[in-house]
Formats: sequence, C-alpha cells, structure tokens
Amino acid sequence: MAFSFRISVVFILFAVHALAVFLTTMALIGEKPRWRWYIAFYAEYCVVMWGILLYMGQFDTEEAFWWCEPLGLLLVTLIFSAILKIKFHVPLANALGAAGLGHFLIYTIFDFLTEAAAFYSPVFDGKYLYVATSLVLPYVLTLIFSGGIVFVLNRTDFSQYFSYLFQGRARTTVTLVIVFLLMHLKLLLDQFFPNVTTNFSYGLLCFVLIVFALFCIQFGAMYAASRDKVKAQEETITQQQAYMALLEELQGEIRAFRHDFTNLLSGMALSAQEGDIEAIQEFMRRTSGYFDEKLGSEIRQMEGLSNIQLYPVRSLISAKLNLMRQRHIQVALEIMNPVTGVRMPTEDLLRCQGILLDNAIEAASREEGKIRVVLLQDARELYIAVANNYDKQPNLGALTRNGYTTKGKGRGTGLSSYRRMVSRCPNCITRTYIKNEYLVQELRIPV
Amino acid sequence: MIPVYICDDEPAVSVLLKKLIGDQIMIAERDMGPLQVVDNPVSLLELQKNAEIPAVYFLDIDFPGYMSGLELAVKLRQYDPRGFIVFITAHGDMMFETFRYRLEALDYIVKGEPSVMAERVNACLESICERLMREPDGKSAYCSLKLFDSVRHIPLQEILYFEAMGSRHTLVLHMDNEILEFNSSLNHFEDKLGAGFWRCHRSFLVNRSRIRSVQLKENMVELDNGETCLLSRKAKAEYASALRRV
Repeated sequence: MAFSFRISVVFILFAVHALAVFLTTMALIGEKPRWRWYIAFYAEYCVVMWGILLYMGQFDTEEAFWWCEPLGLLLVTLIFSAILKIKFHVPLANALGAAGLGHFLIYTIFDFLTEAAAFYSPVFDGKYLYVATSLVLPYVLTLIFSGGIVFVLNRTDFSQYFSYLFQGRARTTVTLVIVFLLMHLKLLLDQFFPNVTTNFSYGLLCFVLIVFALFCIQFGAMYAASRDKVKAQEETITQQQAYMALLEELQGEIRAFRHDFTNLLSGMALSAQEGDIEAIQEFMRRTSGYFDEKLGSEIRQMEGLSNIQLYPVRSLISAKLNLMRQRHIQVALEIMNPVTGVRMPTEDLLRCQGILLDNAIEAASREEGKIRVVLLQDARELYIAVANNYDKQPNLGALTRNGYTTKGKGRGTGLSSYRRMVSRCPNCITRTYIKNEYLVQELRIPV
Repeated sequence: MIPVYICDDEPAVSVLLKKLIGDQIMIAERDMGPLQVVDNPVSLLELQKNAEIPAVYFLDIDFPGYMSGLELAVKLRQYDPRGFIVFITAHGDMMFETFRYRLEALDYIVKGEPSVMAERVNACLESICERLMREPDGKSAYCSLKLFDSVRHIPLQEILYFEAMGSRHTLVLHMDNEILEFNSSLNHFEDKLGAGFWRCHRSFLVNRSRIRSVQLKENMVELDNGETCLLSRKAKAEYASALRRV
C-alpha cells in the first residue's frame, strides 16, 4: 500500500476515535459539542499520538516502552480537560473526570470490537478487505456505540448527576482515582496477568464490566444527588421555621400591644369625660409614635418579606433576620417592589445573598451592630444592597484578595466564592464601598 | 452657581421650603441659585434640561397621578448623575435606605415643625457645599462607565487601577474606598484613557498619577495607598528603556 494512503488512514482513524471520545466526554459534562473544540481536541490528540508513535518507532522492542501509551493517554486527557476548563468553564476536576471516563469508555469498546472482529471475521486474501474488517468495521461500530452512549447520557440527564461526583474534596479525589485506574485498566491487567491471552470472552467480560461500572456510577451519583436534595429540603424547612417564628413573635407583640392600648385608651376616656384637653393633647403626643415604635419595624420587615416571591430567598432572608435579632443587631429591611426572579440560577442567588448577609452579620459592630438590607427589582435589574457598620474599617484593597478575613486562618472563602459566582453570571455588577461609616456591598443582576 | 429645584404638589410645603432654603442660601452666602419651584415631575424634567448640572433637587415622595418620587429620581439621575437629591416626606417610615443606596439620595426632610425643617435644610446644604469643595472642578477628567441604563462619571484621580479577572471579561475597578466589578475589557479602557494610564501587566491597567514606586526586583507596582499590581516582563523592559532615555 502506498505510504500516503497508510498515513491518511491513520489520520482518519484518529479522527474517528477522537470524535467518539469527544462526543462522550461532552455528553458526560453536559455541554453542547461544537466543531471548533472538536478540531482543537483532534489536533492535540494527533500531535501527542504521533509524537508517541514516532518516539516508539525508534526502538525495536515494544515491551520496554509500555509506559509510552498510558503517558500519551494521560497527556491527551490533561490537555483536553484544560481546553474544557478554559472554554466551557467546567471545573478542572469535572473536566478531568469526564475526559478520563470518556477515554476509558471508548478505548474499552474499541478493544472489545477489535477483538470481536478478529475473532469472527473470516480470513480474506485481499488486503483491502482485511483492512475493512479489522479496522474500518470496529471504528465505525465504536462511533455508533458512542452515539448510543451519548444518546442515553443525554436522555437521562447524566451530566447533572455527574457533577455530584465532584462535590467536596473527598468525593472528587475518590472519583478521580477511580477514573484514573479505569483509564489504565487494560495496562494493569497486562501487568498483573501477563499470561492471560485475550480473546473474545475477555472482551465480553470487559463490555459487561463497562455496563456495570456505568450503572454503578449512575446509581452512586443518583444516590448522592438525592441525599443532597434531602439536605437542601431540610435547610428550607429550618428557614421556613424561622419565618414562622417571626410571624409568631409579631403576633405576640400585637397581643401585648392590644393589651397596652386598651389600658391607655381607657385612661384617655377618663380624661375626655372630664374635658381635660391638655391631658388628651399630652396623650396624643406620647402615643402617636408608640405604634410605630412598637411594631413599625417588624411590620415593615414582614411587608418586605412578603414582597419576595422567590420562596427560597424569602426563607433565607427571614432566617438571617432571625440570626440578626439573636445577636441584637438592629436591622432595616426594605423591599419596595415584588422580587420575582433574575437571570441567575436560584442556588447561586441564594449563596450570594447568604454570603453577603453572613459577612454583614460577622462584621457588624459588636456593641451596636446595624445592618441595612435593600432589595429593589425594576424592569431591568434586581438591585441588592447590604450595608453594615463596623468596629474597624475594613481594607478594601485586601478584600478582593483570595482568603481575606478578619477571623484568622482558614476562613474568608465566602467572598472569593461570591466573586466567582458573580463573574459566572453575565452582566452582573458588584460594587463595594465605604460611605458614612458603613460598608456597603451592592449586587446588580439583570432580570 | 448651582441651581436648586423644589418639586412638591402641596403649595403650602413648597412655599415654606422655598422660604427656608432661600433664607439659608442667603444667610450662609452659598453659591447656589436660581431657586425654582415646580409642582409636577414633568416640568421639573424639562427645566432640568435647560440649566446647569449638577443641581440640587428637593423632591416629594409621592405625586398622585404622576410617577413616584423614585421614578422621578431615576430619570433625574440619568441626566444629572452627580446631582444632589433630598426627599421630602410626610412620615418617618419611608423607605429611605432604598433611596439612599439605589439613588444615592443625600438625605430626607420630614414635613413638620418649620424650625426643625430649617435645621435639616441647612445640614443638607452644608454637606452639599462640602462635597462640592472636595470634588474637583467640572473641567477635570472623568471616566464614564455605562452600568445598565445609567452612566457613572468617575474622576480619574480617584481611580487606582483596573484589574481583569478570569476569562469572562470581568473588570475590577479599584478606587479610593470603592471596588466596582463589571463586564468590560481592559483594552477598551487602555484605548479610552490614553497616556495617563499604564498597562503594567496583561491584567492590570494602573493610573500613573497614583503610583508610589515601581519595584523592579519584586516585579510589582506599588500604589499610593499601599496596594500592589503585578509588573510583567514586557512592561518592565519598556519602563527600563524609558528610564534610560531620560
């Protein structure tokens, strides 16, 4: 066969293989595959693979360089996950996991199919026919299989569960180690059981193993997801309880107020009967601010809370209000218009708001803490401002550095994750400033 | 002269306010005027367009049948972002925090005892004058930013540096006592702001007039408030060659 024909066949086979890996990986992380990034991945794949092939070609014996192929695989995976991280903003661990798993799936399927082809195909004389059965067929079938996998993954929304495998450091480590081992499964088997000859039944075993592994992963991820969901629901329930507590407190105060007011009124009725205008005037002067003083702030807060139509946000804010009350922090909450929703995922909005409120609670002055919370939604944006007074003026320049905190080592991750979430949301604006002895954090999110 | 507007639909209030404000301006010989009274938001918006800015606005919170004080203030701010807004209200429990932060309203005056109101008016005017004194005259350079539908003008000497964050075109603008994070690109500001600013690193654009020192050894640029920016190798070479030329 002509040399150029051989070379082009290798390129085409690489392209098919890379396409299968690319599609599977994209399905795993739940992004839309785009041609641009496939081409980037393909180029990267070709460069690494040709490098390895050429390097190995220098030597006669293959055994001494068993590490070349896994190294190449690792390199390809690393570069691919770097592309995913930069271009699709997927966390690095997720990208690595997905790329590794994608490689493992496609390699194993391909292995199995090659074995099967070698096992079943009759012996031909023609070289081209031989090429067809031993190369073209397995590759095409691999592509078809990967299409099937992608279809199943997309239909079951697997990417959603997949990201649950990477929540928390321990889970991420375990997942990555497993993926890494899977990637090199074949190599490990070869190393530990060199005498086992590979045949069709071995391939079948591998195939079953994949299906089983996929099933396990899916099950594990679903389990993790449901556990997280339960946790989130529990949190919502505690927040709702805080809201209820606020309502009950208000009711108690109204009862006390009613009692007070009946007493006051009966006193005034006496003055009125006696025609004591001065006493009545005095009474009016004293009681005009009384109602406002007693219940004004609570009623205003309740009014504000009832304006939030996003229930999770409402429960979050009422829980934080409760916390502020426990710490004897004076709080002014103002929500003029209904808050209906924004172009930011609700979880992110909740976490952002939680971080801002927690920071304000932590930083507010110990003696006479004061916090002001403003939410204002109009046709274009949701405006959130959280202001707190402080004992010691914070250093704004240092605030933007990662891990800035006034609370000692290991803290201060709140603000940096806040900033990460905000920068993920297009067209959001944040502003931090100091004005009239208050530290003000503003967040403006497009509606 | 800074124009002063009073916008209130109750004649009694606006007459009283006009007298109070006029007296205070005269007594303290403040550089303010002319003092104009209107009874509806629409004519105030028209008047505003024909006069100088920044101006001082005393606004009622509610105008039955018209837009609310909040909407009016948003519209006034669009034309006069640096103006001073003071709200007049009948009751103390209005949403002042919202006005204070969203519109940067200066203060509010509760309708009532004229002597108390006079005191409050005087405090407002005093703080306005103080702010104007601190602010540079209108001719000094500004950097204007479009944030949603409003434009903000930031005096250049308050800017320390711009920092580009991550890959999503997020810019962080560091100022005295303020940090602003928004979507834009560093190249845009490098072109717009010209020679007064120095691109000392791929992700930093610093105000030259705020630099305290350039630390070539540590590859840092130190600013006059003690914050530091990174210095790239390319910028360092530029800097060194500029030094040699001098």
